Amino acid sequence: MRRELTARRLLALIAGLLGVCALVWAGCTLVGRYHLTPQVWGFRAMRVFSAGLIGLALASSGVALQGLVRNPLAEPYVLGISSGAGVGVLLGRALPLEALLPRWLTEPLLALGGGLVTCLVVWGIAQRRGRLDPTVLLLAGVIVNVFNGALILVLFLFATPEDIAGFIGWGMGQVPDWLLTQPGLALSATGLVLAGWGFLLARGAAFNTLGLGDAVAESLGVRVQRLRLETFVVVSAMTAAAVALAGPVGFVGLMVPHAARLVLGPDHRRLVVVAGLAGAVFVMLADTACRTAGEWVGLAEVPVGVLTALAGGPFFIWLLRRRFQGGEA
Amino acid sequence: MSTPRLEARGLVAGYGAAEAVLRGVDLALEHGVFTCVLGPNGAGKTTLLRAMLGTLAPRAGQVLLEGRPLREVPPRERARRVAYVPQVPTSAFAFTVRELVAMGRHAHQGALGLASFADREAVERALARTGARDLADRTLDELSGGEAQCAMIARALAQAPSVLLLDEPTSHLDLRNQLLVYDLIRDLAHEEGVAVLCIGHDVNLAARHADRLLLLRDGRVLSAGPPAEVLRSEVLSACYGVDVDLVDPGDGPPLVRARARRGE
Repeated sequence: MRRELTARRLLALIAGLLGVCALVWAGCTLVGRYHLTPQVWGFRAMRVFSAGLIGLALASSGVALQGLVRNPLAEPYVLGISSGAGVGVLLGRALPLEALLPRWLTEPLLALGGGLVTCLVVWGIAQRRGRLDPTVLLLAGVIVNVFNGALILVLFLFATPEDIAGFIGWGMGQVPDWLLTQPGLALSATGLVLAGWGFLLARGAAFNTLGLGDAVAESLGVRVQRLRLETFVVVSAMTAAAVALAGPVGFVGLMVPHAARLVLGPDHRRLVVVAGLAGAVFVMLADTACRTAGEWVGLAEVPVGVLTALAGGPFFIWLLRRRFQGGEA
Repeated sequence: MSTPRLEARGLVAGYGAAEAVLRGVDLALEHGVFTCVLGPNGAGKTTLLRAMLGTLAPRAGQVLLEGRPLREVPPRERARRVAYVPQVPTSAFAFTVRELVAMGRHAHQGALGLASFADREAVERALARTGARDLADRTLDELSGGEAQCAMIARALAQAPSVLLLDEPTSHLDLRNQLLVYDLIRDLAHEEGVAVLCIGHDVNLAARHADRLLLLRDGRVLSAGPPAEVLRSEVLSACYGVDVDLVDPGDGPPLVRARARRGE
């Protein structure tokens, strides 16, 4: 039997997991080939921090989307929100905007715009007579991902060859090691992700009621349409922050919430906290593995997005098959 | 006479640009009275329930919650007064019955939905009242249809509502569970003083349990009142389009026996 969630248990959960995150952050910062000079330490610490932020954003977004559409396959990458945000980011880098506005402002905003438009398009396609068709939702995500990929290729036409090399690394989901040089962007991304996380936690109880169907949730005092819209905006903002930093890192929002649900059960308040922070730990560890493997073998670094896609693709198919075989996914 | 808990006055309602489904319905739900709505498919029963629940705006006429227009009552405040039980119990997430019942407290709690002492008491009371206490640690898909519906009624009861709206809660249940659920609903009205509106699909079951019946046809009230007054063969014939015999069982309202009309 699961124990009831009380304020004390919730606080203990958050504090304990933040402690674990801090330990993992410190540990990952120590690992690496180069000697720890203060300068190396600073860059590495910020890189591990970025990885944690990205994991937190993507995993808690996954929890929220899965609750919202009552489908464990929903996730920012699968639904195309990440690629939409990617179009926004590349648009910002291809256009000469630096002269007009600072990067910490344009990049998250354009990413948010791209993510939100994609989110609403996918949502609109999957609506049928006021209901959401889960199969159409996934198909719409696939198609919109292909379309956004084409837009990204079009944007390449406007970039210099050196830029394109950078874009390709970014497009594979590469945790940045330059965040220390962009304090404005670091602050805006951190602010967006933490504010979004707090919002999702505060909506956890409302997500729970959605499982009873829209009509019952409505009768319990939840404004369902408004909840959907607000959550899409918030999830898009969190995804935008992650994508502005690292490009599209896929399937984190799928694997981590699923594992958390197996351990914790379906309560979205716990899931937002635990899956969010477990996502942070997961991406910190995964990125450290990618970084150090490259450093030791002497090859180029493997972008973390490649690792999550290699693990997440088969995982997605496994979940999908379970779901269509009528098993509880 | 006191203000009814929930009241429809000249209610006209429908969907989109289509013709109105309800065409002038008057209905008052009073303290401790169990009202059952009957009528053929497409008569507007579910539409009536949705309008009474506030999820469908009236095109004309009014729905009043304790004298106030329902659409002007904020959702959380409405949820502390009006509870709803759907036709089929569903839970997309694997919550236990106790957790589902606790969701009934949503509108009484802060955003995080953390339970106070009063919330816990209301949940346990609702579980005990509906006989769902033994089911409390199981999930919905481990229950029979009747048990699941009792759990859903417990969830509605935990809302501490003064009005309870149910949409054909027994349509997928076997005979024993139909009786169980109807007995429970009647007891909630009579013993807890809840004003109950239930859409029924079995005329005899409704007649033996409800205090008032409301016969709908084509979006209008054909007849309303205590079962003994409403159950007249010519009214039922007109309502359902079948020939109707009434049989006196000797211990309550007449039993309705329907025969399809020849040539139809």
